[in-house]
Order: sequence, then C-alpha cells, then structure tokens
Amino acid sequence: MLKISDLAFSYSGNGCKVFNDFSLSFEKGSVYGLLGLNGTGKSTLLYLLTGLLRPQQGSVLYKGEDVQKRLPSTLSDMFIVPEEFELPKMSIKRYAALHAGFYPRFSYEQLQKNLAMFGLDDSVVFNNLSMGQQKKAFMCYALATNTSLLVMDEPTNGLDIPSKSEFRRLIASNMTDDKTIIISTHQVRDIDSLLDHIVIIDGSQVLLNASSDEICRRLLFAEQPISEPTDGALFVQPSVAGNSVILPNEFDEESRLNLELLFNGVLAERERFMELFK
Amino acid sequence: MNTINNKFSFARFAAVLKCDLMENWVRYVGVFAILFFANLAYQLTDIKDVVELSTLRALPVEEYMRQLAIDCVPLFYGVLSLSLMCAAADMTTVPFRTKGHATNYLMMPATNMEKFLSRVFINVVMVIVMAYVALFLADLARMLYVAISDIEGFYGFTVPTVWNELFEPLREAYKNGGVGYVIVDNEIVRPEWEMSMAIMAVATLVLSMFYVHSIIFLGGCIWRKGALLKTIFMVFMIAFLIIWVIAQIIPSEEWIEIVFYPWVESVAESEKEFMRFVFLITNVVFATFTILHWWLSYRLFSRKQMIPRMHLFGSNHPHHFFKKAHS
Repeated sequence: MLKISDLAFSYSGNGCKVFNDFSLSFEKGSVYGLLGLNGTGKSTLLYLLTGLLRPQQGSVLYKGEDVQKRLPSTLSDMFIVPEEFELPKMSIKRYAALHAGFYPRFSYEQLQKNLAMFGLDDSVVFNNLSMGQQKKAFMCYALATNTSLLVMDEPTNGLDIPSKSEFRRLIASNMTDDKTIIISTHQVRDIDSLLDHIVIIDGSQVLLNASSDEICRRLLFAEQPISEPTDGALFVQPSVAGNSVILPNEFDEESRLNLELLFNGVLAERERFMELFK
Repeated sequence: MNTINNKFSFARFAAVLKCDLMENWVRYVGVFAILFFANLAYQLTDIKDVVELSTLRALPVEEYMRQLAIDCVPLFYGVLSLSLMCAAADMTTVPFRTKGHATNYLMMPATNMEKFLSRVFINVVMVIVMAYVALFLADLARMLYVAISDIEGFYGFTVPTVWNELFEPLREAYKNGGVGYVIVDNEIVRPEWEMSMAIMAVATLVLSMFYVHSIIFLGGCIWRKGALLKTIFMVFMIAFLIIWVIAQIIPSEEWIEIVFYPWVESVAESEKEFMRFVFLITNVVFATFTILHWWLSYRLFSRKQMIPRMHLFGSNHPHHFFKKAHS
C-alpha cells in the first residue's frame, strides 16, 4: 500500500542526513505505531510519506503512485493530522461543507458520531475551542474523510485523561480492513492496546518492524520480584515491584505487550532484537 | 485507487478558490482596506494641490484636472502599481504563511495547476478588481468630502478621466486617418507620436506592469515572509550587478555621453522604423521574461513543501530540474 524505497533526506542548512538509504513498507488493514527517540525522524518520515517534504533520493509510492506528484487521487485518499495545525475561523460544519467535496468517501453522519464521542457538536467554531478540543475536532473530521491512509503525529498530546480513552474508542470504531492508520507518538501507554503493528526507527535504521501478534509470539513480557534470577532475559528494567523483563517466548506463553519496555529494550539491545526479528 | 480525475478540473479549481476565499476573507478585506485608504489619502492630498495650483494658474479645476491627468499619469500608475504589487505579494504567500497553513494547502486534493491558477486568479484578477473598486470608492469618498467641506474640487472618476486623457490623442488620430500627426482642439500636440508608436508605448506600459507583477509573484513563490521587500532588494542587486558588468566592459563616460544619448537621438529623429523595432523588441523581451517568471513560479509552487526549502532545482539537484524541464 505504501512503500518507501532507498529514501535519503536532510534538512537545508543541516548537513547531517535524517534518512539515508531508508526503506519501509506499510500494508493495509493495520494500525501502525511509529516509535523512536526525539530527533530520529518520526515526524519527518510522516511528512515524507504524505508528500509534504520531498526526499533528496529514493521514492515514496502510495498505491503505486509517487506521493511527490501530489495527485488528487492520492491526496483524496490520505489525510494527515500533524502535531501542530492551524484551522480557519469557521464552524466545523462550514469547514466540512467546504472541504468534504474533495474526499469521495466523506461521511457527515460519521463526523457527527465522532464529534458526539468527544462531546462536541459541529456548530462550534474552531477558534473558540481550546487546543486539545481543536485536536479532537480535527481528528473527528480526519476520520470522517474515510481515507485509506490516516497519519497522526502525537495525536494524544494535549488530550485530557478521559479523552485519551475516547480517542482509542474513536480509532477502533472507525477502523476497517481497507484502512491504514499510522500513529507516531511518545505516549505509548495511551495507544498500546490499539496498535496492530510496531515500527521502531532510529534515523536510517529500522530497529523493529513487526506485528503485535508476532512480538507477543516471540517475546514474553513479565514482572519479576527482585529475588528472581533474570538469566536468559533479553532485557531487564528495574520496576517498583522488582524487575520488568523481556524473555524469549520459548513455550508460547501469553503475555500483554508492554510497549514501553519493548521500546527501551530494543534501543538498549538493538542487535539482539534485530537478529530475533530478522 | 479511487476514480478521481487527475487532470485539470474546473469544478475542483472553483472549490479550491472558494476554500481560499472563505478561509482568508479577513486578510483579503484587510488588503482591500489598505488599497482603499492608500488611494483615498492620495486623492485627498491631491485635492489641495489641484485647487492651489489651478488658482495660481487661473484655470478651471476641471481643465486643470485634465492637464494634471496627462502630467500625472506616470505618478498615478506608479502609486497604483505599488499598491497592486504590495497586495499581490501579500496574497501570493497567504496559503504558505505558516507551517500549519502550508500543510492544509498542500494536502488539499487538487492538482498543482488548479492550486496555482487559483493563486493566479486571486493575485491577478482579484487584485486588479480590488484595486479598481478601491479607487472607485476612494473617488466617491473624495467627491463626498469635496461636497461637504465646501471646497472647490474635481467631481469625476479618476479611471475614466485618465483613460480619456490617455486615449484622446489616439481617437483624434483615428479621425485624421489613423496615421500621422495627432491633433487635439485644432492643435498639433504630439507631432512625433504616430499611431503605431502610441500603441507600442501603451503595450510597453501594460507589459512592463505584467512583467513587474510577475517578478513580485515569483518572489512570493520563493519567500514566505517579507516577499515584497526581499524581491525588491534582489531585483536591485541583480540590476546593480548587470550595470556593474556593463560598466566594466564600456567606460562610463563613453557609455552615457558618447554611446547612449547620441544613439537615442539619432534613432528617434531619423529612423522611426528602427524605433518601432526597438519598442517591439522591448515588448517581446518583457513578454518573454513575464512568461519565464510565471513558468518559474509554477515550478516553485508545484514543488513547495510544508517548510521553506529552496527547490528551484528539482529534487535538490540541478540536473533533476533541467532533466524534468526538458522532458
């Protein structure tokens, strides 16, 4: 669905390359979690794959079309909710009426339903809302466009605690098999139950690219008392109860994916994890 | 992939235009207000001069205004052009003024050409309409001011007056057979001004305005902030560089005193055909550069990114730019 090949990119005035010879692909029907340290290029990658930035080398193909061309057929099938955005001084209803025509699968009913989940209505003017509420309204609109690809950069930043669970519910209720959602975030606990696929990047390196099922099939996430030995663990992180450990899942045991632990483990023991998921 | 048409669509062009106008109407009204008050200030300042000077020369105000319209045409067009340029430069950059706005605009599902033409429509058609409506309203305001302040003033609209004064000689020349001398009120007012030369001169004026506008538009496509000032600065720098290079090749005293003036005088006096040719060449050069600027503007516009990054040369590499330009 979305294929990134041999990508090279650097910002002007900054000689160091954000990406060099970077390749990755995204398939439809999954919610991807894009994780990485600050400055590793997560947001840049999102902008590159929506054609908002142009790579120096390589290509980003969406359903076989180069996103750099910015064709209406491509743009009407993808939507990005950036971390910082600006909306015009008009009501959500007016905004939807102006822009809905660009998206063939846009649904007003879905917009109303989505807004209701956050306790908003479409008559409210964007600028009269707080930043968090604006974000909720914009995400509701984004999901109502029903584009095959939805890209979100730090969607839970600025949302209050109840809204974070509403956000998970919103994504889950709008997700279908023909859609792909890519979420870049540092707030892994807000979305860990939502993700079907985890991608951890560090600049040009893809440290981990695996489905949540595969991760849980190969790894075992456990909490151990301090007295228990951690021999054979892939990664150990001290916790309040003792140690949080990642172990090889040799006996097909079931455990809940601990995304924060996985992220720290992959960064600390990158070679071991990369070898394991080769 | 959905069945969206990727070729130019008038419906989508209209939709882009509508979105732009609806989302930025406050800014456009602001630009209109600036144009209106600039014109009004110009006109109200002018009233004093007209009344004062016409009294000194003992001419009726209307007569003096007619004369002034002829004398002040370059000034009038200068003020109008400057107002237009400021408005145009401001409007070019509207969708890209911030990262957020640029993201929304670039992600709008329309072709680059549809978006570009919507900018051109706003930048050319709308700016010109706004300028003339602002001028018309300023005329009305001036007449109202003259009426209520009980001073002697000119009752009439600027554009028709200037238009008439500009084209009166042409109309008279038509009456006199289309070529030759221009006669107004039984007087030969411009014995050297032939019809074709007059048309060429008007064409040069119009083309030069489009040429300057195209530079401003190009500047607006390059810079997001302070586009007008940066463009003017760049134009001066380039002009300075060209003059400096010419001055290095030809000594200044020769260039100005020996080469330039005698050449112009000899050509203007004796070789009208050659002078027409010079006008024609000037117009062709203006038109060519205007088209080149528009083409470059489109190249830059279609390669715009959410953050300001100079991409005059394609994917950061000159060979990409030229390769794509030729393909």
